[in-house]
Amino acid sequence: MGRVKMRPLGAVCAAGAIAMAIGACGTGSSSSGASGGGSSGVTTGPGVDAKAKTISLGVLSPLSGPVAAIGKPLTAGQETYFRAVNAAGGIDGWKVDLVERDTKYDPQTEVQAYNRIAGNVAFIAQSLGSPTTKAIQPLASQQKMLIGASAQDSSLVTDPVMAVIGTPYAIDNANALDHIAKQKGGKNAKVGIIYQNDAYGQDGLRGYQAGVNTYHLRSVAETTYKSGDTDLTAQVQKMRSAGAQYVFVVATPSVASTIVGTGASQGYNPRWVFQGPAWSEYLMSSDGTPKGKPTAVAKALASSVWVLGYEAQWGDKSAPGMAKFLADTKRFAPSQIPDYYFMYGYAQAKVETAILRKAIAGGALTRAAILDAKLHLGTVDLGGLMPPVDYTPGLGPASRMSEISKVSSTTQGFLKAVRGFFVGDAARSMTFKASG
Amino acid sequence: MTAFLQLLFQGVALGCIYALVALGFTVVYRASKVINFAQGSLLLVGAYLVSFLATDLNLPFVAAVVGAIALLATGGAVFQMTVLRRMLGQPVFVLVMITIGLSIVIDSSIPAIFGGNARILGDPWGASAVHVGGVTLNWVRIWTVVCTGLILALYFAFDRFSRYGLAMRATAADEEAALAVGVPVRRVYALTWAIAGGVAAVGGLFLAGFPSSVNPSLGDVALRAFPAIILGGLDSPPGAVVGGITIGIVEVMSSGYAPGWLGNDFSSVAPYVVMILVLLSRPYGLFGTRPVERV
Repeated sequence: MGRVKMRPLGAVCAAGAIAMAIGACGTGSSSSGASGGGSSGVTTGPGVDAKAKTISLGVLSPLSGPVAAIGKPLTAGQETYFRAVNAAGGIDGWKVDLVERDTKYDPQTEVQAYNRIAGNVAFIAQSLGSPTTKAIQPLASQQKMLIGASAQDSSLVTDPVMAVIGTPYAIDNANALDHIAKQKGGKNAKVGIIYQNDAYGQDGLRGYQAGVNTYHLRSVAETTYKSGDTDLTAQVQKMRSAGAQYVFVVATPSVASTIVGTGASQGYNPRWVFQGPAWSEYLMSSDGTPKGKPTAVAKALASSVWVLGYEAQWGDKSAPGMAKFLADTKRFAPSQIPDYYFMYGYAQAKVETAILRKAIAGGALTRAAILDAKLHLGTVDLGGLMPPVDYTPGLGPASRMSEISKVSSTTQGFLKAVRGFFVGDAARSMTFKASG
Repeated sequence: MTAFLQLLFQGVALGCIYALVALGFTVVYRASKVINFAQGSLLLVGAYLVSFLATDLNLPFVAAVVGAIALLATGGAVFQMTVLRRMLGQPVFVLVMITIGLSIVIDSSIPAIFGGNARILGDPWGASAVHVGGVTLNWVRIWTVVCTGLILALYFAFDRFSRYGLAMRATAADEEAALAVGVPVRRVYALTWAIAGGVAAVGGLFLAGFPSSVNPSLGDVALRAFPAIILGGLDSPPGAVVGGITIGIVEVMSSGYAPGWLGNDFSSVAPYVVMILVLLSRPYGLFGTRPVERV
């Protein structure tokens, strides 16, 4: 977002000087952030108050702007989990406090917010988005700051400071192609992809191509769109003329619904395969629940869309952790509607709690100790809400499992499982290398 | 051929929305030489107003549309009278910066008030369509074309035959001379902002129609309409219409037919290519006024 403010030159210089001073304060070790030994016998680092036995964690999330639809519930999920932890006595007696800053999904704002809180937090519990997280990646590496990255960009999973949960976009698409190939007549399926022309889209495309090559499927059309495009008839026409039976949609929710709606109104209803971020409950009804007024595209979505993801169905009691999740949600976020970003935030906080517990057990809550705890964390079971994460010094994706759901207009959360967590051959053999 | 006709129809419908955006720009620019960078944000407000009136207050859709047009037109005029009027005598640049400020305020306020999720427009058309020879004509897009035509006809009739239309043209031709002969220039400025608000409400509602939705990114369309304004001529309402429809067709057609070697998303570049080609031969746009200078 471009922001332009005009001020006399002197005022601009003064503002610049103040901003630099604030930035400098944030990046350096503040007095409160100095390492030391606490009364609890735990060596402390920035953001850790040994006297009050409080650990401050940063949250850098789009709490306003278009992406707030993701940032707000995801942050609420983290808040809920940590409130539950604190209410139960904390992590070995240590309470967690979240320091939240709005990034507006803008990399520059993210860097400013990071610099403002970096000296006062033990690590960043949430950095939402690929471009925003990549903007603070060099700073975090330099300062050995662990980042709970809420982004499934494949390039992040090989960075030791990044704690990514869930499955990268690329792997989700490769797994979906595994499912397609193994269906009756799947070997002859014609597949296509419409992807956003940026890093997110490229990641989805990478998994798609890996799957197509592994299963020898026919990719009949690949096309892009640019953020801000209002008419997607041409993209849909390309898929239609090529005869694509399965169309992968690596997009945002508003674009994804435009694509499906355009196709439906022209009588073209292939199996649309949505990458996780393409889905939102609000595509189905006015309030995101089955009780709300259906949208104009709800019918088309319900009949033809699969959603890729790695989260349990909301309320699915077969997931061992669901009962506690629902109880915590009812107690600490009673007005929360079923929302998979909320569940993601909850699960992410659970992994971060495990990291803190390991660091505390090791006797140090310094940046280096927390990072070391993450690298040697091993497997953390997320109660079936999401696939278990596995952090080792070898790095790589936390999980290679995906789940496929279909859209149902009557189910709470609107998603019904087609296939539970699984890993296909293409996903298993995909390799990941460090970015940059 | 069916694919071509389908894309052509979509291009014309998109072009009509661009024409409404461009008309909002040119009406204000012609009178005051101010490029209103908040025009896209006014569109956003228009879409949300229609949605709010139709779905939250449950007004009949026509009443919601009329209400949104009236509210946004009034809002535009009030903004001009309370803020921009105080800046009289300041360089035009200052006024332009104020419109940028207004745009930022609106873009931040809308998600804060209504949330970041997509909303239902509340229109009666939904996904309904007619099929003519294999070409799908969604009712919302048919109404986009029809209403745009009606609004443009109304505007041109007003501009050509009414006293205030004459006053607007006089102010555009020479503000000082218009003042000298008693043209109520201040009221004319307020009127241009009211018109910009009114057409933005209509543009916004059709932009949010099926298969799109009411969402915070709708205002970005203004940037897409810029080539249309320059192409047609910044100070020419007919130019805005021709430019808007041309750019809409170019964008959709290039998206459908651009060869792969032109790279991804050539459709975003194509309108600018057309604009540059036109400007090479007509530096003030297709219908822009060439300034007369004494040398």
